[in-house]
Amino acid sequence: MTGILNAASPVRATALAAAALLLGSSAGRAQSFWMQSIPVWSAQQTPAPGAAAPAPREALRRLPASIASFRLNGEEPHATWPIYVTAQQAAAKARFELATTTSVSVTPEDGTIAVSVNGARLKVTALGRPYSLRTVGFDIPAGVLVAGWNAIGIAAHHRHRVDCSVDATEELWTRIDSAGTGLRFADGADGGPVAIGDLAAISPRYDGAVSINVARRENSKLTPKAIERISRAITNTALAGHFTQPVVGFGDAAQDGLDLAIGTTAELADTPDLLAIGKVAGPLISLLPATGPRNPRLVVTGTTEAELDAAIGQLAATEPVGTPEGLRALQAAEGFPVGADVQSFSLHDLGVADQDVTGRTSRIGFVVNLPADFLPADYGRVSIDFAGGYAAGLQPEAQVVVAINGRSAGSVRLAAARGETFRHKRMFVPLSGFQPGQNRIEIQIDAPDASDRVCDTSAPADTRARFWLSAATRLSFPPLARVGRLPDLSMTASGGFPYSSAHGEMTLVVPTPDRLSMSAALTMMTRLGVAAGRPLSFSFAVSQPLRATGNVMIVAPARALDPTRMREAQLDPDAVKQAWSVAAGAPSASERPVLPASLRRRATQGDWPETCAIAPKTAPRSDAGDDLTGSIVVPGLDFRDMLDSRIVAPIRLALGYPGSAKPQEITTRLQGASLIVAQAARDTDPNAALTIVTSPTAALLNSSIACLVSPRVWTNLSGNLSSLDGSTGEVTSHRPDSVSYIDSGAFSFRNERLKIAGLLSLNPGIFALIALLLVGPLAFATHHLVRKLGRDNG
Amino acid sequence: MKGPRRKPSHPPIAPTYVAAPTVASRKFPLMAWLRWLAWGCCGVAGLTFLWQPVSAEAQLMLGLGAIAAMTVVGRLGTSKLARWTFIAIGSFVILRYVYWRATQTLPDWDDPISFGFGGLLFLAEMYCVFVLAVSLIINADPLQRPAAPVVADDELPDVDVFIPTYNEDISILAMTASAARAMDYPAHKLKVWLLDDGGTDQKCADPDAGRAAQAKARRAQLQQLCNDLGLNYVTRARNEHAKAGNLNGGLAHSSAPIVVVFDADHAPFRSFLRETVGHFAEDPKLFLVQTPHIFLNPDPIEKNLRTFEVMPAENEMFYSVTQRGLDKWNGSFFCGSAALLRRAALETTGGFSGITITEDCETAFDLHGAGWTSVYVDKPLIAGLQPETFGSFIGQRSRWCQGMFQLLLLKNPVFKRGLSPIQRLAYLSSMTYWFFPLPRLIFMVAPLLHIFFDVKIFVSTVEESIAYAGTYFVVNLMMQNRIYGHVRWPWMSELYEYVQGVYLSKAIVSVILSPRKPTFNVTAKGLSLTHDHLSELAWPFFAIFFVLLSGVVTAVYRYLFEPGVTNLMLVVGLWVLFSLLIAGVALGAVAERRQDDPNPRLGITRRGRIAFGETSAAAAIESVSAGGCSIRISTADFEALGLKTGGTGAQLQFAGKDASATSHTLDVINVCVLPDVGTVSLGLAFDRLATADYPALADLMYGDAESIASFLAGRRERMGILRGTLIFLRWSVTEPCRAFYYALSGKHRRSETAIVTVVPVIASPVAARAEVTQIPLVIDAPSIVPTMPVSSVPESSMQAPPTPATIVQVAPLHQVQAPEAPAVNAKWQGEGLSLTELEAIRELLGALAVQEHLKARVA
Repeated sequence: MTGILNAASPVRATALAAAALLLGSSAGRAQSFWMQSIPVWSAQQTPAPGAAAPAPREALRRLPASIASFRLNGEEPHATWPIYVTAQQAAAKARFELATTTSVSVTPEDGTIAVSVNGARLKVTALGRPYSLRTVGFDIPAGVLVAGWNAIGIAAHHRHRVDCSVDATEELWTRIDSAGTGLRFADGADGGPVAIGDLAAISPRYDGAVSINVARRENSKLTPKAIERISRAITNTALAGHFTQPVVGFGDAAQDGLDLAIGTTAELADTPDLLAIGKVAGPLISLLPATGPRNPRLVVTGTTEAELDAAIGQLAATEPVGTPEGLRALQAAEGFPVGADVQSFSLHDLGVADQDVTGRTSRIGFVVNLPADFLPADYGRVSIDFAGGYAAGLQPEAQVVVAINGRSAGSVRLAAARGETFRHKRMFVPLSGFQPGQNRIEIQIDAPDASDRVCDTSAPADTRARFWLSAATRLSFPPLARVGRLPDLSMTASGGFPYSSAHGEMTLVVPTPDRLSMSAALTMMTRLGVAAGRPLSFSFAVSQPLRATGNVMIVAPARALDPTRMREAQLDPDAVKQAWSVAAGAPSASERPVLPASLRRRATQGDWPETCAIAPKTAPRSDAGDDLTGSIVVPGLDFRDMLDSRIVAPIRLALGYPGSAKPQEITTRLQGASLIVAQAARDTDPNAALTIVTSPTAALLNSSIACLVSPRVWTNLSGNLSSLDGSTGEVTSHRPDSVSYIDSGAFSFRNERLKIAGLLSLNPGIFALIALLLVGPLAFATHHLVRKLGRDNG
Repeated sequence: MKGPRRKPSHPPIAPTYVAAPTVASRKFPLMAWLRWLAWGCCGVAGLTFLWQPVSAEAQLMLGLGAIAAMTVVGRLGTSKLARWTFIAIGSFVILRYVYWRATQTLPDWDDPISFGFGGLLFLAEMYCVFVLAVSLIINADPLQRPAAPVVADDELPDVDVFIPTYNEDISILAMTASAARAMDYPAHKLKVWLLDDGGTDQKCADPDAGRAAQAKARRAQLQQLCNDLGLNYVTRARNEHAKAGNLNGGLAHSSAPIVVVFDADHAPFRSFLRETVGHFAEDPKLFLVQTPHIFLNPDPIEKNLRTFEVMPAENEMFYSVTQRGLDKWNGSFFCGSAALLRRAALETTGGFSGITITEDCETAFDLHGAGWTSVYVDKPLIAGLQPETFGSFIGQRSRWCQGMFQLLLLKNPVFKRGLSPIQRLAYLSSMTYWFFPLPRLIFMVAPLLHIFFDVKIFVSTVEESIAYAGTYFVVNLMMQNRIYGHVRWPWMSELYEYVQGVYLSKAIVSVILSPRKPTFNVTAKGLSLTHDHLSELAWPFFAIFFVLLSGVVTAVYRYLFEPGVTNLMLVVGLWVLFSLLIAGVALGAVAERRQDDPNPRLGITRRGRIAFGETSAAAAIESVSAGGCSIRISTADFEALGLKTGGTGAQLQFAGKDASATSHTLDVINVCVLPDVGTVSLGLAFDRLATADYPALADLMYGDAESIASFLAGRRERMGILRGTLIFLRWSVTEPCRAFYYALSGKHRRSETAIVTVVPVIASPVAARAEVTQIPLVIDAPSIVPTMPVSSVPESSMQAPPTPATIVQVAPLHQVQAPEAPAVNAKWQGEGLSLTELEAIRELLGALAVQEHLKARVA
C-alpha cells in the first residue's frame, strides 16, 4: 500500500498539523495520566464538591450482549440469554421486565411474546401497540432461578397485517430494549454481587456491555508496570465474569458496571475502599457490594507489588455453575467449541430442542467457536444432515436456507408435494465460509403453503406444523487445518494471535496516554485477553521508536501516529490524513452531544449494536469531486493500467491471487470509518506483528473501540486492514496481498497435510502448477523404466 | 511353390534356436534398481501431492491446466517421452477424481438404498478406472517388432495348415484352402488339412435321417474338394471339445513341427508364412506367432452405420494396439486363427486346451504358464469374414465373453503357476474386460434413479461435479484418443459396449452361475440380408431408448418447473442425455440395412488381359471378390473387343504371383460398364467357376498382402475428438429416425436370410474414393450390376429406403428361380417401376441365377 502513495516528505509536519486540527477542543479536555506528563485525572469515587448528586443506581439486571441481535425477527422468533444470579438473588422474589418495541407490520391482536426461565414458560402476553416502547413484567415463581447461570428465553409470535408472503416476514420484528429489560429483585438483592465468585452477576449497562471503571486516587501517577497490572486484572475479571463486551474506563461515572480499585496498600491508603476492607496482610481481592449510586467495587491489593500480582492471579475464572439450561445458554452465547475433540454435534448438543414451525418462516441460530488458528479454506466441507420433515402442500419456494455469519451458504428445497420425513437430508457448506473464532450459523425455514396465497388475515391461525426440525439434525466439521497467519486480524480477534503466543514479547504503545486513549487501549487489551482466554503479557510504552523484534500494538488517534510505523503497518499516512481531514476540519461529529434516545432509536431501526450508535459518519463515503479523493487519485488508466486490469488482473484472479487495492478504494474505505485496525508483519521481525488501532480523535477512538468489542462487531475483524463505521458497527476488511504462515501448535502429519491443502486451496494456480511440474520427472522416470522392461522396443 | 525373393528386411540367419535376451536391464541390476527407485520416488511424490484435499476451485484449475497441457503436448510431441508426459498429466486428473469419488461423494451408509446404488455406481466407475490403468500398463510401450528373420528354404520347417470346418459354405472353404495352398513356401514342406467337424461319424450316424444324409453328403463334398485341391481331409468319430477337439484331431494325423490354424473363412495372403515362420528360428521357446484378423466385410454395426470404408474396425484396437502392447510383455495370445504354433509346445500341454469355449486364449494361457513365449506380428496377412447380422454378432461376442469368464473362473490367472506378474495382469485384464456390460448398464440406469426416484447416487455440488467429473470426463476422452485414436473413433467404444452389454450381461450371469455350462456355437457367416429390417434383438434397445428419453424429459421438466430441484438435476439430466445419444445411435446399429454386396471385394493392383473371341486387350485389375472383379481398359480396346453387357465368352488372363508366373485364365461375364475419360471400367462376374479355378482366384485375391494393408491404412486417419463427436451427434439424430422408419413401415418383421454367392466386390476406400471422384456414375443401361463400386451408391440412399431401381436387389434364392413371374412384375409395376427398371431387375436376377448355377457346379 505504501508504494502507491507519494513519499510524504513533510509527513511528520503534516501529521502534527492534522493532529492539531483533529484534536480540536478535545485535546484540551483529554488529560494524560502518564507519570511524566500532565497531572492525573481524579477518580470519581467521591463527587466533587458542589457537583450535582448522581442519580440512584438502577437496579436492573440486564441481559448481556451477544453475537445475536436484541431484535427478534420473523414470525416465530425466539432467543435465549444466559444470566447469572447470586444465591441471594435466586432466593429473592424476582421479576423479569421486558421492554419491547414492535414493528408496525405486526398484527397487534395476534402478536404475543412469552418469556421462559430455564425452560419454564412464565406467561404469554400481547405485544401491544406497534412502534411504542412497552414494558411488561413477568413474575418469576420462587425456585425457578437458581444461583449461577440461568437461561432467559424470549419467544415472540408475529403475524403480518396484510401480507402473507415469505418476504413480508422480514418486516416482522420485536426489538428488545436492552436498557429496560432484565431481572429486578426485591428484598435488597438488587445490589448485585456480594462475593468474588459472583462477578458474573455484574449488571451490564444499557447496551449489554459491562463497564469496568478503574478508580484511581487523585493526582496519582501510573507507571508502565501499573498499567500492565491493571490490564491483567481487568482481563481476569472479564474472564471470571464471562463478560462478552468489557468496556474499560478510567473513572467514568457509569451507572452500571464494576469499579476496580487496584494498587498496593500504600497506593490505596486512606481510600474508602481500603478502609472498608480493613487490614490487609497479603494478597487480597475483595468485592464491595454496590451501595446507593455506587457500583460494586472490586479491590485488588497487597502490601507489596508481588502480593498485588498474586492477588491479580487469584482473579481466575472458575467452572461455571447453574441450571443445565443456563449452562447451555452460556455455552451457546460463547460459542460451541469445535476443534480436534469435537467435530460432529447435533442441535441437541447445542441446546436446541425439536422445532415445530407453524408459520411461514422460522429461524434457528447458534454459534460455533472455531480455533483461532483455524485456516478457512475449502480443503473440506461442513455437512449438515437435516432430520425432520414437512407437511404436504407447501409452496414451491419452500426451503431451508443456511447462512454463515450472515451470508447465505446453501439451501435445501422442500419440494415433495406430499410432504416428506427425512433423517439425512444432507447439505454441504464450504469451510471457507467460516472464520476463526465465533461463527453464527442460522437455519431459516421458509414453509409457505396454499393458505398464504389466499392470505385471509382474519381467519384463525392454523396451528398445524408445516415443518418440523429434529434436534438430531447434525453438523459435521472436517478436520481443521491449524496454522498461524500474519497479517490476519480475524486470528487476532478470535485468539489474540500472535500477541497471545507464549514466545516473543509484546509492546503496547499509546503515544498519547490520555484518559480516552488509555481507556481505548485497555479495552482493546482486555478483549484480546478474553479472546485468548488469559491476560496478554505486554510492556507499555509511549514512544514509537521500537525495539527491532517482538509484537507491537499501537493504539492512538491518527495525529499521534508515526508515519514510519504507519507505513510499516501497510497504512498510508497520506491516505489516512486525507480521508479524515473533513472530519477534522468540520466540527467533530463524534464530539457532538447526541441524545441517547435518538441514538437508540437509530440503533433500533438499523438493528446494530447500541454501543455502535455513537456518531454519524465522519465523512461522506464517496463524493465525486471531493478534494479528499482528488488529491490522492492515481492518474487515469495508462497502457500499463489497462494491461493490468484487462489481462494481468484476470489471470491473477484465476490463479487465486487477489489484486492490490487501489488508493482510491482505500481512501474511500477510510472516509466512512471511525476506526482503523491495520496489521502487518514487522519489517525487522517477520514473525512479529505490528497492529495499529487508530481513529481521527481520542474520543472517537475510545467510543469506536467500545463498539468494536461488541460481539457482533468484533467477529468481523479480518484481513490486514479493517475499518469500522462507528455509526453502524459495520466493518469493512481488506484481504492482504500476501500472508506469511507461522506455526501455531504442535507438529502433526495430519495438520501439515491439511495446512498444505488449505494453502493450495487458497492458491489454486499454484496447485495446478506444482502438479504439472511433478508430471515431468514422473514421465521421465516412467519412460526410462519402461524402456528397459520387457522386450526391447528399439 | 517358391515365390519371388523379397528384399530381406532382416539379414538371413541360421536357426540357432538361441533365446534372445528380452530384458536389457539384466546387465545392470543396480541401474535397474535405481530406475525403479526414481520412478517410485516420483510416483510417491505425485500421489502425496494429489492426496491433498484441495478446493473445487483448485481442482478445476488443475483440470483445465491439465487439459491445456495435454493439448499442447499432444500437438507438439510425438516422442515416447511426450506420450508419457501426456499420460502422466491425464493420470493425475484421473487419480484426483478417484480420490474425490472415494472420499467425498459416496452416500451415507445409514441410507441403505442410496448407499447401495451409489456404491454400485462407484464400483462400476472404479472398474473402468481399473481397466484404464491396466490398459496403460499393458500398452505402456507397444512393441514395434522388426520383420521376421529370413530363413533359407532348406532350413524352413515343415508346416501343417489346419482349416477346421463345421458348417461353412464349400465355396468359402475352397477359397481359404486355395489361398493356403498358394502361400509362398516350399511346396513339399506345406500340407493343408481340412478338419471337418460337420461330417464326423457322430453326425453321419445322427438319428435324424435327414441330418445324417446331410452330414454324409458334406463329407463326400469336402473329400472331393480335397482331392481337387490337393488337401488332406480329416474327420473324427465324435464332436468332442468342439474346435479344440477338432484341432487336436488334426494334430493326431499330422507331424510337422509348426502348425498353422486358419478359420474356414480366413484366407491367408501369399506372404503369410514368409512373414512369420522365421520367428521360430529365433526362439526355441516360442510357441505362438499370432497375426491380426482382418475382415473384408463390415460387422453389423459398421454396416448399419456405413462406416466400414472410413472407420477402423472394432477389432483393430485390439490387434493394432493391445496385442502389440502384450507382445512387449510376452503376453500376446492365440486368437484361434491366423496363427502359427509349435507342435512341441502343444504336446507338452496335451494339445489345444478345450475346457472352455475360448480354446485359443486358454491354450496360450496354459503354454505361457508352462514357460513358452509368444510373438505378435502386426501385419495384415489374412482376410476373413465377420458375422453379417446383429444376432450372429451378439452370438459370437457371447461366446467370447462366456469363454473368457470360464477361463477366469476355472483357471484364474492370479493363481496360475508359471506366469510372470505382468502376464497375470495381462490375462486378468483380458478376462475382466468382459465385465464391461455391467458398468455400462449401470451408467445407463443410475442417473434415472435420481431423476425418477430421487435416490442419491452421488453426493456432490455442481461446482465439484464440474471440477472433478467434468475434467475427468474430458481428460479420459483425450487419453483414449491419444492411445487409440488412430484405430478407434470417439464414442465408438461406448457404443459397442452398450449394444453388446444389453445381451452380454445375461451371458455373464449365466456363466457365473454355471461356469461349465456354455457350449461352443459356431458363428454364422456368409448370411445375406435381403431387405432393410429391424434385428430380432432390437426391442430392448427401443425400450431403453424410451426410458432414457423419458428420463431426459423428466429431468428437464423437473429442473425447469419443480421447485427444490437443484442444478444437480441438470448435471444428471446431461448424463442421461449422453446415454440417450448412445442409445439413439445403437438403434441405428440394430436397424439392419439390407446387404447389397454379400461377397466383399478387395482393391488390388494387378495387370492382365481381357480376351473376347480373337481379340484381347491389356487390362488393369482393380478389385476382386470371390465372385467377380473389376478391370479398366482403354476405350479403344473396349470398342475393339465388342464385349456386350451380359455377354459370355470373355476370359480374364493374368500372370500368377509365384516364381514361375503361371498364367491363369478365368471365364468372365461382362455385367457392368462404367465409361470414363479414355478408359472404361468393366464389372465382370466369374463364369462357370470350377474348383480348379479357385487357385487362380486365390492368387488374384490373396497374392499381395499390400492390398489389404493399403485398405487398412486408408481408414486409419486419426479422428479428432470434436469431429468424432459431431459425427456421433449426427448419427444420434439420423439413426433413430431410420430405426423408427423401419419399425413404422413394417420392416420390423424378422428378415429372411440366405447364403448367397452373388459376388460383388469391395474396393479399398482409397480406390473407391478415386472412383467416385473420377468416374461419373453412368450405368450402361439397362444393366444394374453387382460389381458396382460400393461407394458409388448415392449418398441419399443412406437416408431414404432403397428402391430396386437404384440398388441391387438380392433376393432369397428361392425367388431367383422366377425372375419373370407375372406376379413379381405386377407387384413391382404396382410400385411404380418402369419397364426399363424391370428389365434391369430381370437382368440382375439372371445374373443371380448364373451364380446359383456356379455354386451348384462347385458343389
